[in-house]
Amino acid sequence: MKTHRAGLALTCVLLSAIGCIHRQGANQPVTAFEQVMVWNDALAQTNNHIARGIIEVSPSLIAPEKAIVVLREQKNIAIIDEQITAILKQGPDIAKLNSVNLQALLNQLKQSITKLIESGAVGIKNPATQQTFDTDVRVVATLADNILNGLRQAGVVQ
Amino acid sequence: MNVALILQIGQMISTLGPIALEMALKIQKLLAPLGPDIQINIKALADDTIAADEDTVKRVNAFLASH
Repeated sequence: MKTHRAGLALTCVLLSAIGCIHRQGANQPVTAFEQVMVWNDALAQTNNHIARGIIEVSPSLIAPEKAIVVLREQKNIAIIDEQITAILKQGPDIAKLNSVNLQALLNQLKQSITKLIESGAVGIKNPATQQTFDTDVRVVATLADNILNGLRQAGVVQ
Repeated sequence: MNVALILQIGQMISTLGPIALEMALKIQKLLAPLGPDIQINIKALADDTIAADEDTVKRVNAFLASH
């Protein structure tokens, strides 16, 4: 109940903050494809944020051999995401023409995120750090789902 | 502002808590400079994404090289 209330409060805070954002120079909502680009950017930044954090707390809170396993997976995610972004950057029409490649890359991204979740499951010494890592990785997984759903909504992939 | 997007962000926060709020604020920051030209928006967001991904690869490579 407490968690639910906290979630509700956070939602209200965000909604009031986000309510004042408009596309500059036009009173139009962002397109589904632009939303995908936002989720994708957020994914890359979160992955970067996690990597910086892991590097910062190794070896004090995470043994280097453990950090290496996690960071290798994060590097994979960054490389796959760069390839996805290279396609998306060309716009929705070109992305649609590359929907098969895009779908394959998104599958690779999901697999890599699953490996990242598994790689972080054990070995982080500090419980709070473990919890932060788990939550951050869940954010990455949620963003990947949002990218896929957004691309479906934009008619880029099926 | 797109209602579906707000709902998605709201759902994310309800599910994930404070870290999702941090993320949502980051998303809000990403949305703020979006202008009327969709192509420019897409390119700017893609460039920002690629910069973050390249930085991740660079930092991980540096860490791997030193261990």
